[in-house]
Amino acid sequence: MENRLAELRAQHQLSQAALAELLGVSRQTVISIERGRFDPSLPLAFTIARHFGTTIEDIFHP
Amino acid sequence: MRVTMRSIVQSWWRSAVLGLALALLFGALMTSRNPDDPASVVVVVAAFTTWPVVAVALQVLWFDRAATGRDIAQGELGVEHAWFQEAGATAFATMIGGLLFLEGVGGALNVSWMAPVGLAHALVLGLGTFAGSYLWLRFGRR
Repeated sequence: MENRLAELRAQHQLSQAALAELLGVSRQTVISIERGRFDPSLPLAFTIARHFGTTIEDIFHP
Repeated sequence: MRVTMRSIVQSWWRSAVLGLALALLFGALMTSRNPDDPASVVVVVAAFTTWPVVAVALQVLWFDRAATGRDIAQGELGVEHAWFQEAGATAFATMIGGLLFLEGVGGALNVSWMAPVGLAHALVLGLGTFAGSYLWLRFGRR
């Protein structure tokens, strides 16, 4: 699944570690999502979307 | 985080020591299965062939997992949880596949290999597959 996480993170001037801390996950989790190697669970996807003030479908594309 | 020799030793020494103790125990158990061979040779060979597997498995299954659970509030949301599940499934399939393979080949050749192989070897195979699979998912699939 493709996503805009890296783009949104850059727009908000957040490091991977900072975003990971905000989301309550590891930095490796953020890296894996950005690279498309890990599809987040629905609760985590909602948390990400809420954090960036957008919707899940705006960030994640099948 | 910068990886130095000191940080590697600090995070792995417990697994190495405990792994060696368990591997020596495994070697001692193997002496009862090989009563005709010199006990010291059986213990040393069994211990040093299983030590790496047991040490890595302890690190992945116990010490790394404990650190991950402590540092991350919602561990089940993270990629580490997915790696853990995938590695577990791979290990289970390998263990079952290995046992079926041995049983099948043994049956075809009319030789019972299950008795000498035993549960302990299947456990080491499962642990080794789990640890190897987890490390591959974590470090190999970049």
